[in-house]
Amino acid sequence: MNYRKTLAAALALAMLAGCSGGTSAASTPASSAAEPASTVDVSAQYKNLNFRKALSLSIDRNQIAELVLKDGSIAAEGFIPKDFAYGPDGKDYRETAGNLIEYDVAKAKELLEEAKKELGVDNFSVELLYETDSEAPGKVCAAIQQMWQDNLGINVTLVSKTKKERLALMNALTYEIGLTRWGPDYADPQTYLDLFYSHSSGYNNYYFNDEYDALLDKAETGEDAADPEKRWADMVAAEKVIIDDMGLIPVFQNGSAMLINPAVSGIEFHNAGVDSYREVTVNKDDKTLNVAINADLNTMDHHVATDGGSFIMQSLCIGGLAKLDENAQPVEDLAESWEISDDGLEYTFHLRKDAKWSNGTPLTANDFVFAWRRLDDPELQSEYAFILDTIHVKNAKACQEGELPLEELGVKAVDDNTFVVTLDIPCGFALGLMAFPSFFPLNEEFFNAHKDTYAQSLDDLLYIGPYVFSNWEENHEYTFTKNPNYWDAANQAKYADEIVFTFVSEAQSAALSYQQGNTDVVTLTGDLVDQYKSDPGFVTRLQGYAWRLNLNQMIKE
Amino acid sequence: MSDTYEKHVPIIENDYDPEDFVFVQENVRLKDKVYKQTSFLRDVWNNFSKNKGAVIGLIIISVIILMAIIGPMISGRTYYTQDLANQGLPPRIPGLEKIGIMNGYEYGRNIYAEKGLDNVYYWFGTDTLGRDLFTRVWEGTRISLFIAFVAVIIDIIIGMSYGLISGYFGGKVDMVMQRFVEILNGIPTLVLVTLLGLVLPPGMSSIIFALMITGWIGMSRISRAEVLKLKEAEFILASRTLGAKSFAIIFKDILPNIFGQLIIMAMFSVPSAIFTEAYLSFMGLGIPAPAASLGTLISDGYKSLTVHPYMIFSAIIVLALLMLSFNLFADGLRDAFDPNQKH
Amino acid sequence: MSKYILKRVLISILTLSAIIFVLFLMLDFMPGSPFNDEKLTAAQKALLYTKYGLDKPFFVRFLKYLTAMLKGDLGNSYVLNKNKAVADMLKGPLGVSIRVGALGMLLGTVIGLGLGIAAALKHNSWVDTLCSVVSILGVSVPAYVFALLLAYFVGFKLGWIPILYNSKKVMASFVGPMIALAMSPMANVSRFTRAEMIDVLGSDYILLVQAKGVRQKDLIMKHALRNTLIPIITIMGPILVNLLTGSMVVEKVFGVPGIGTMMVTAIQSNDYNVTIACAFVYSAMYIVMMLIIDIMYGIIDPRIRVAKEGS
Repeated sequence: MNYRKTLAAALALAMLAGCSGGTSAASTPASSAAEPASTVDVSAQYKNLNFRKALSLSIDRNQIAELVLKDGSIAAEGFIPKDFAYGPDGKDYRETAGNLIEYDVAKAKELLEEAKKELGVDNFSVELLYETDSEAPGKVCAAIQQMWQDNLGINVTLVSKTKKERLALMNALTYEIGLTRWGPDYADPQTYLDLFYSHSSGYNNYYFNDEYDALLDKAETGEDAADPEKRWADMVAAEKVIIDDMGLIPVFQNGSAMLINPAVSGIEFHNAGVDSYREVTVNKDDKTLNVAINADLNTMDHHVATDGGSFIMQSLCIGGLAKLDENAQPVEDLAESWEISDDGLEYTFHLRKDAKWSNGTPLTANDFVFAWRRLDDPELQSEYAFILDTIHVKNAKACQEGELPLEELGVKAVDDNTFVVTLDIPCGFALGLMAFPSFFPLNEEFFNAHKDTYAQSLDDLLYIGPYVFSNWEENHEYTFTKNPNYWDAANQAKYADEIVFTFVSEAQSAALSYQQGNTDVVTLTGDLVDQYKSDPGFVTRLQGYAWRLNLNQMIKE
Repeated sequence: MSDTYEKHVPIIENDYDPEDFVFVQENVRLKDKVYKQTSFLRDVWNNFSKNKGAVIGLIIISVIILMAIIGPMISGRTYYTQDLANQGLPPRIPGLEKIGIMNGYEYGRNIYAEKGLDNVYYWFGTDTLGRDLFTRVWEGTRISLFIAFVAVIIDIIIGMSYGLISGYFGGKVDMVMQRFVEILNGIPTLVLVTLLGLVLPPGMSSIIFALMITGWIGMSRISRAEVLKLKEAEFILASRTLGAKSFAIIFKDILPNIFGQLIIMAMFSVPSAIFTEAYLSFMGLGIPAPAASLGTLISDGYKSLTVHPYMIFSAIIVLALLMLSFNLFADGLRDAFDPNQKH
Repeated sequence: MSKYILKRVLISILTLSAIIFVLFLMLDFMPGSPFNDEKLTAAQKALLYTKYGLDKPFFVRFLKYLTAMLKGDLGNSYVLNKNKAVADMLKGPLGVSIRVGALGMLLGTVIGLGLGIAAALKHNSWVDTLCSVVSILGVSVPAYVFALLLAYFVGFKLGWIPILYNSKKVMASFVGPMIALAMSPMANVSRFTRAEMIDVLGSDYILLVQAKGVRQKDLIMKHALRNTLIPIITIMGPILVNLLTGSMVVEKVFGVPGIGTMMVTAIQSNDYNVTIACAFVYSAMYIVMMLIIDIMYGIIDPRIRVAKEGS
């Protein structure tokens, strides 16, 4: 019997050792040394404005961008990133709104002392949540942890999760501080501001600020909605309100370090919207462009796709009413011209008469009507259906929820070449979105002939863009060759004959392949930047993604 | 012909004397020579210390364990302090730098001199956040060893009890218990562990749990096999006849006899636990930052392997040494416990 | 014999259903949805769950999946290749993975055997040292590190092998992953063969054969080797496990479109059906190989058969 007791005790001990070992390793080095802080309601500290401000003021964002990330990322100057949205005066949004973020350790310390007095505590502990799907968040949070510990002396515990899990925790409010990002779908600050605007459709957040909401009420649906200048001013004011209240802590704007073969030119990167490989010149013998992609192609069905990689390939094969030029301004593509009514509520697109699908069928307005209805179809449940409501297409929301039949959606084909869209509320960025694949046309007859297998193999695809999908090797390689039936084939002749996307998740292998000359375009990780920054093909570019810290003021256990 | 014939007749010389056939020790008083009594452990040690490889293994293990304890303290730096200005420094060791290795050069340039750090020495270099790799490697070794030992101890406890019970009772109990083991063993560890990594919260206890979930099976097999062998032995029969209860027999009579086997198995399991931990870190189930294990150090260093190879090498070398020495040690131990067994 | 095989097959089937159950259960605990958690509202996600039948209770989904599976339907993908049948998605990658894995295993075993035998014959020579070094490296350097070093030195510096998989040069593309995967089997086989061979060479019957004056070559090929090989089959199981583990990470380094890459992506994006299918395929391959090894062992060594049938 003695043995059994000893055994049970040993087992329990071992388990305990395992568990306690786990917790002590997970907590920060400083926490073991720190004095026991008098406990507070964890939410209370995040409800304290001075505490929130102190956290923000003690982050050296330039150091994070330049020494930690190195990939061309820049320090955030506000909630809205740079170089992605332009006002009615043509100026970059950030230029108008200015820099709202400071780094001031002395002031941060002062505010922290005040926060301690207000809350009656001697010290703070925070938990910082980040995702492990890519490297950058972990490194940034490690740097922030050190800054908060050094500058403010607070204990920071890092919590790492997969992206899916992080989002689930943040949606369930079971986190304290979370590093998160947003990628804009369209070139307007609204895509960001809506995240904290409690009256926006399908509000997913838990921040409520009446002043902020009132400003955005005016800008989005109220009296300023039709006046671009006033609307812009409202948005600038709203951003200032939320930054003054520290409803979120902006950290950095995402950059991307790449290697692009100097013989290649014309790849258009868009900070909002889809990058374009349509007009790429390749000064090589074979005029083939080899691109290494770090995310796989998910689907060629442009109503089902949700990821950038898939959108890029769809844009080669199809095309929208408009496309974006190098300055991200919408220019004619499948529509040769358009008119917008004076109240900004009716868009009339005149389609090109020479555009034909690859099976010979000419493009008609019905291809758009059918496509947009499919996007909104409750049967399909497209994950991008919301974008119709974002530009306020009439009845988009009601149709999507099944309250109205799809025929009530605000789109119609006046004749074969005239497509008319009706909006509920004017929308300044609607035209730019016409280049977004969700709005691309779809031939009803072809679709009905394929239905369930549509876009699942090369036989189930129809093209109207400059390229056709010629070789589909799942999980690996996707080859696009010129579309002989493209309406602008003559002009297209000077661009790349063949574009090959190869899925490589290991950036180091891709970079080695670039050095060998077998790959023309590679995205680097921050760790590789030092090695390649002197390469003639090294470029960094700013992306529209902005990373921020969300502070949870209503923590649920 | 006659010559040949002659050669075929051997000439036997009689070189034995009659004295050769006399009892030699007739007048000597014979006595049993009593050798000094040696304990079982003494025997084991004697056998073990004859094995050169095993002794070397033991020495390396001791040195690494010692470094895991004192290593993080002797550099004067902590494993978590970042110094972004000093990121990516190659190894530099005073003394060794004079002979041209670990001299702070990378790609033919003295990185320390470029940054104006003349009297600064990072023995194993720094990582991409400017943390001292020397401290991190030993800190990581400590955590990896801790994880491996705890996992293996739990393996022994669970596996031993399971195997003892299954083997001793036999019959239906054994059948059910063995089917369960077979099913569990059918799941490839990698699949199980990868998925567990997603479900469990990151941290040491999760890693230990993942390591142990299939790790005990080997232990249970060994103890079951030994019990099957032992339970028919006379001393067990005697014990049973004297009225000992099943549990007393299992844990008092059988257990001590199979402990050696389990210890050997455990010594083989420690390196494989360390290695599996490294795989888990690569798949994202690692020790949360800023703490490190050998696994997280290797998977971090891997990200810049083609750029700064030194960032991974120190951790890989410690890992390789641990694998080598534990295997040598376990080999030696096995031979020492049972000299009849093949090597 | 047939009774024994039947019993093993039954257990294997039971194991596979248990695996599917465990996988289902674990995926149920996995946080987040397969859909865009960032841009969709809870209501929109609920509708998607209804559409794909994910809102049903656990056991309903499990039974539905099992019955569909018996008909060869592994469901559709939610993320990786949206709405496409998983069974179709698996075909290509599975073929690639099996080929790379089999080649790696073959290469590793053959070299390992050669190295082990040479080391045993020239006990304590440089060959023996080489054998020890290889077996230590093989078990202590993770496969992904080895793969990347291979890509760097042999692929980039020497230019002998393609760094990235190229479907137009399949055989050349297989060389890198194959060698990287071969390391672990090579290490284990060489170490085991050496020990086994030394043991056999020291045995009485070899002494007898030697005494009969059989030539050294025949002695090794006809007598020693055969007896060394039999126990090596027993370590093929663990070697296979290492190989599967390795394939997942090695495929990533060389960009091989195999099932390992697919499973990693599927896990990250919560693509439940693809994850289950990949894990299931891994388990099935493993179980089938173990079954074959056991049966082979039974055929080669009659003692095992008798013992198992007796019990």
